Amino acid sequence: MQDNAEKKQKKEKSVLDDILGNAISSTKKHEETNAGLETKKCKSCGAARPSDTDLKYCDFCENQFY
Amino acid sequence: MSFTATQNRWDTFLTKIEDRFHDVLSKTEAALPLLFEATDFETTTFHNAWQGIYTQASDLISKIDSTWFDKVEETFLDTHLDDDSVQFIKERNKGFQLQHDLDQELKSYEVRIFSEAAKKLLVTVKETLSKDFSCTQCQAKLPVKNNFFRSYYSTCDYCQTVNTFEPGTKARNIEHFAINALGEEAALEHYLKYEQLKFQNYLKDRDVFGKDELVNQYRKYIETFLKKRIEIIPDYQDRYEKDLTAKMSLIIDYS
Repeated sequence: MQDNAEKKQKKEKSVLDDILGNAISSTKKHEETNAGLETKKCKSCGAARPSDTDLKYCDFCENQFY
Repeated sequence: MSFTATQNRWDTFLTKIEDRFHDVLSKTEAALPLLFEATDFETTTFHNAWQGIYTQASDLISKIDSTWFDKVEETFLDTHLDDDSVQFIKERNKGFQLQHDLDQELKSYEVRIFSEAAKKLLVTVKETLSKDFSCTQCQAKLPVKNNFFRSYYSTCDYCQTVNTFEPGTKARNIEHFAINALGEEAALEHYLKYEQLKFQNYLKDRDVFGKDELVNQYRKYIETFLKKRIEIIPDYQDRYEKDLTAKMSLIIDYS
């Protein structure tokens, strides 16, 4: 009787463990991005984009950003 | 089998289902937060783990009516009960009532487990966003919003350089994961009430509560949910009416 109860308890525990283990092992991990700042810089002259300018041309050398 | 013997077996079966349900869910409630922390707040693993548990719990709940219709109903009828007698309906409704109660509890467990995880994630993200961030050109301190969780431009006051602030994956998950969970937590009582009204109609097999009452109750749930989202991300205020209409159309147009 006690054996049966123990077996049942083990089985119930293993169902939960299986689900959690399965979730950890089968979920595809993606690389995380950290919080931070970056600035778009011109490939030609290295200038950063100043305020009130667009992303099309560099404000300093007029080189195309993209 | 006599009526009393059948009734005893039915009661024992229902008690076992209820005990097993609480056993699984209480263990889950203890284990899932640990999993969330162990995976460094990785929301996909958390979702997948919950989906596994949810399926197990739903299968358990559905055993109540499948067992009633497959075996128990017939056994009661064999005891010479009529299928419209008070005793028969009482036994049948015991099962329906437990099924409904467990469905409601499953929803409550889900909301509790997700909202607790969401709160932990929110604290971690706010800590990150309260750190100092500097302009990439002149290194001057650049203020960062603590209630906006997407990428945005920020101009340095000193050198006028346009910086792009990336809040990071965890912060982005506030929008994809946390606000929904916290909105559901704020609105849970209204949702449970709505399901309760629907269940009364089902149990009595007539419209005890009309469509207007159901729609009003559902509206309370949606309004509370959306207002909680705005509390966390004020930017959502601009689309409140649009979101309300879209979410209400689910029951106004399709139920």
